[in-house]
Amino acid sequence: MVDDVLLRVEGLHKRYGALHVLRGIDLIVRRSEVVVLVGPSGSGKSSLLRCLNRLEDPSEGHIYIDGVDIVAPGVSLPRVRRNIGMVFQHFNLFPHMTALGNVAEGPRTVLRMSRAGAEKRALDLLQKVGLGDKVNTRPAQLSGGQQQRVAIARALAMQPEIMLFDEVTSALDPELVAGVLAVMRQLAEEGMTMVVVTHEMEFARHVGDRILMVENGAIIEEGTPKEFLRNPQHASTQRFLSSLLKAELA
Amino acid sequence: MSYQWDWTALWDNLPLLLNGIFLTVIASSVSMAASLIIALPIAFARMSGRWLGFIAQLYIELFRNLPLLVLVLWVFTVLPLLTGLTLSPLLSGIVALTANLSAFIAEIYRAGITSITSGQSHAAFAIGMTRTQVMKRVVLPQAIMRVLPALGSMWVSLFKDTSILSIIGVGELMYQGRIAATDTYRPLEVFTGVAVIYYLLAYPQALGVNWLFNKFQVQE
Repeated sequence: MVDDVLLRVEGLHKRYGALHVLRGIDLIVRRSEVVVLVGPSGSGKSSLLRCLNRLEDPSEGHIYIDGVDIVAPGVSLPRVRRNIGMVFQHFNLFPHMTALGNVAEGPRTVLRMSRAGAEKRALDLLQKVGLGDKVNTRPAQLSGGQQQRVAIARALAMQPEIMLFDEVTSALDPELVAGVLAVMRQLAEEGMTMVVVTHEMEFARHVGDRILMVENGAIIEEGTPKEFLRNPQHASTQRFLSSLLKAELA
Repeated sequence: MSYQWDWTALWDNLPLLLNGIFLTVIASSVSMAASLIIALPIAFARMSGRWLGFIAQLYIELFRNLPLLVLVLWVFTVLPLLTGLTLSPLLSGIVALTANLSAFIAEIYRAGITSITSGQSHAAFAIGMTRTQVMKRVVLPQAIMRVLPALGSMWVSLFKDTSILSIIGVGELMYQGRIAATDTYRPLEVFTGVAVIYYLLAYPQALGVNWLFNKFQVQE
């Protein structure tokens, strides 16, 4: 049988001094699966995501990608991270580079591709995210939604096996959210493996394969979008979902 | 009071003063270039913590807090006794200026580097860059742009501070001015001329720094 598990997290803990933000996370993500993490702010979703590409160091536990433990001592983080794309809430584009420069930077500097090759790849990706006309524009001249799509293209330029999305629409004006979600949806349809932290329940419902509820540093409930949204078992999940609903109606 | 201004004292000595300008430019540009380079490892050492950081901090605090005049005289007179190494007045001056300036510039670099948000390095790490690549490609280019105005003002004040080197006999503008003043008994005219020359040289540089800043300003 082909092992289609891409990411496996075992007993993951994260402590900041006395603060215990992740309390034993176990998680399996299969190839082409879209896993959505929801939960109140401060629940540890973002910390979990940042442990997955080692921007944060786990205090305890293991993370396997393609069967390789990326928490093991001696592992090359730059090499591990090439394979894991990440998109941030605040875009974090490089302001001193154009949109094309931002996307070509990884292939050029990390993969040591030729300038022409890197720029060709970057151009293709900018076209894919609908920004083929913004190639030479600096981030400061782009809207938040456009910046975030450049950031997605920048992560894709490394041709990662898995993409991590950390509340990527939370900092956007409402009218710019749809364009970013559309790009993510397209990625999911193309078979990209994705772990998505978001409050966009419509996206979770239509694109997610599984939804996981994170609270107090633990996964307290999980299910298919249908099960999870129609029939949440846990009282916290019910409260959380109804608070989102109220916020939408307000 | 009626003082009879006699500007021939200035005109006659103009070739001498122009010679002085040459050494002023040499002393300031060599000191600046050297400081820009050696301040970088000092800034990194300062940020590294532990004993390396402590040494860098000692260097910075020592050379920032010594009066430039004292430093120049010390390098010129005491250093040869301690090391057995005799430096020319110009070289002594450059060493002293560089020690002083690099301490300030190291702090400027450090401020620039720490002002770049962690989000920038996170994004760079996330695409698989090494620490060195993150510094070279993402943090330093932005940090340098951000501190360019501060570096510019360091340059302009360095340019004027080279006049201190006249005390150890470096034949720069101020030194030649003093010679001309004594030779002609016309210090008023000569020093006025020297002041005007310093101003005419320094002001366009200050403007140039502003221009550079506006042109390369990084917007966020």
